[in-house]
Amino acid sequence: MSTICGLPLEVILHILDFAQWKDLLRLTSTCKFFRSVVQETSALQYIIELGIYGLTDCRNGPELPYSNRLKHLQDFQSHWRTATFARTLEVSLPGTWDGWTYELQKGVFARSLLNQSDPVPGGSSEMVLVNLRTAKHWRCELDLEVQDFSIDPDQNLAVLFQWMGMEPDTAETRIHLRRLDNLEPHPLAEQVIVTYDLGWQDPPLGWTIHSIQIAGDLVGVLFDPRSPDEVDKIVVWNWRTGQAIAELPATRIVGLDSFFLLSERVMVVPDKRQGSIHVFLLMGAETRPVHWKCFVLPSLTADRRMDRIISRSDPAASAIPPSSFSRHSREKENALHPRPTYQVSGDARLLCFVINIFRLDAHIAGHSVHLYTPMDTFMPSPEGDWNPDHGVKYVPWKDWGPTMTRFVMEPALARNPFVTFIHGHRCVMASTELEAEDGHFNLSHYIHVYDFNQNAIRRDLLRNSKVDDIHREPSTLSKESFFGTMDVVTSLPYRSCRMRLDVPFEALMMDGENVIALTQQRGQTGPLDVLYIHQIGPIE
Amino acid sequence: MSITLISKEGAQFLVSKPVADRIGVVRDCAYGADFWLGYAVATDDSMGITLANVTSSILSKILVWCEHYKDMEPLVDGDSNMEFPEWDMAYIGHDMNQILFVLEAADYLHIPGLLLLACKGIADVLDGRNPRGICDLLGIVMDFSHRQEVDMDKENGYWRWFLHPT
Repeated sequence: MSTICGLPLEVILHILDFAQWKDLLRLTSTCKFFRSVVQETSALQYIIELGIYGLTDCRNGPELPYSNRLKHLQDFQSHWRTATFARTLEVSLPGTWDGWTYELQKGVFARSLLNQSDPVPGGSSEMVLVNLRTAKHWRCELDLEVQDFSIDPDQNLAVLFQWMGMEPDTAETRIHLRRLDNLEPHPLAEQVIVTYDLGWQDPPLGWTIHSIQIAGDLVGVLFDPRSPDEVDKIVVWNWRTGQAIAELPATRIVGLDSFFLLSERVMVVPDKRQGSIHVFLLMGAETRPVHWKCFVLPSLTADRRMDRIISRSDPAASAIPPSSFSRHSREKENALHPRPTYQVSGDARLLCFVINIFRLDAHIAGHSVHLYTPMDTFMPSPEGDWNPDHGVKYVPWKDWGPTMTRFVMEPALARNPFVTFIHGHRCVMASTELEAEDGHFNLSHYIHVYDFNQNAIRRDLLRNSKVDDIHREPSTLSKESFFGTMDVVTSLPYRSCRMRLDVPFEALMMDGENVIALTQQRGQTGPLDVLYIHQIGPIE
Repeated sequence: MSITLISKEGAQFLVSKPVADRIGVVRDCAYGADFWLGYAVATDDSMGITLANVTSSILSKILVWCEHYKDMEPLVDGDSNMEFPEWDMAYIGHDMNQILFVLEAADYLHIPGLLLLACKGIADVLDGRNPRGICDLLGIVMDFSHRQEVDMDKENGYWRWFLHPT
């Protein structure tokens, strides 16, 4: 038997370079030798720290010593913990009162103006892109009208769904795959325009698009037909080949409200009618998605309904393995992509379901709550604890809800936030509060940051450090106000903080290093959209 | 030109020059005027080099790698995210004892690419094991004092939370 401790230290450090962060932690409990090697090597401590926060280092440029990186990462996290901004940048964009769609991914904000009052299927439109690090923006003319779109700066990808008009001739959708930096055709797409027949009968009444998801090579979208005779469907393509690899129509068993692609293999579909969350496994082009599990929510009494379950999780595109993706971003130098220092690893995301419950007999607005759970909840184990022959596995609420989720009430007077209010294991919400000051009442605007990183919470509780902001006590949704059948108790720990903002804002977004407040203002020549980019410090 | 490599047990392996060139020590011996002490013995027409610390079974294992990489450059630098070719991962396998021998030999023989692969192999075998399992695999004795163990129990309370012992 050869023993590892006899090897030169240099070789041992080579081995540890390859170790996963959890394995490094476990090694500190094996013997004094490994404990001191791991604890006294700042490169290894840095890997552990990144792992705890679920991040990947995407830094480019001059190599910093690991001790500096470690310090930077810890400072960065403590700034998030208190919502402390290093600086605020302001960007004014020409706006519209008509409506527009937007996307925020990894330091790039993108917006397209809609011109639906005068629909011209072959028309043109404009897209605005903002680099949030520098607050520089670009305006690009597009040779098509965009109904909705999504972007992935890591793959330099923009996925544009063409506006087919209010009453399209056919139920055919058209997807344009472009480079994000100049909106030219994407070089890696075999078909620059992918067309797909949604299969709806008769000239359809058009459709809306929800939840565009990019996960590595996959793009998925939920189509919601205006015609009541047709059913919603989710379609997933491989954007590189243009092939549809899955189509999932709504059925009596599975209703579709929104969905996530958690990875290139796992799709999560909440369903308000059944009051449950379905998990599908994508098996490839030939086979239908396998309905693997169904996580059941607490049941409702007959006089109550859920009128929506909106699901949120970002960054949607991080299913690419970290190695290929850091290599990719190193190759690609463009002014648009700020290449954030840290990016969320593929498995470190939080899922949020916004659930609204109302009573049929009382004509009042329902109660809205947010259900949070880490994506691990829905991921199959690497060994694969599933078998297509066994059918759907139903997971009753008591087996997952109480310990693996947390219901959080929306803060007082919460405004409807942007879709991207969640990033990694954090989410951000806005509230307005009436506060008395010198005998006057003022409206104060707050942002609330919730953090569900269980690794960091566990560690801080263990060290008894910085725990004032951690909520461990279970929260209870009363039987009367919510589900009617029972009090619902959930206990997943989380931390929260809030920060007052002096400027009023209409919407809120976030990514890994920014919280963005958006206001619409009246400019001299027309409407202006003003983005206040609050950058979480420390800035390098 | 070919070179004869002689294992610890005295077994002879006849290898072609491109294969032998993968082994840093052999390359240095073959080209250097002064042979390293204890490594090499030159015979009349072909070269014979004794690798006194490497057993026949490990040497033949290593020569498989050298044969595979005789015409291409192996990866010699990397971090936890780098991906090795499938062939490499199948070659190195999951037998910890064997990987450790290969690692030692690669270090001794100056084969940086194979050294790196063996490091990756060890890290992969350790992945997902609890501290006790790691100790058993690597032949490490847990040598903490009682006091340290009390401190670590607390820590382990945290580790245990996300450990999936195998």
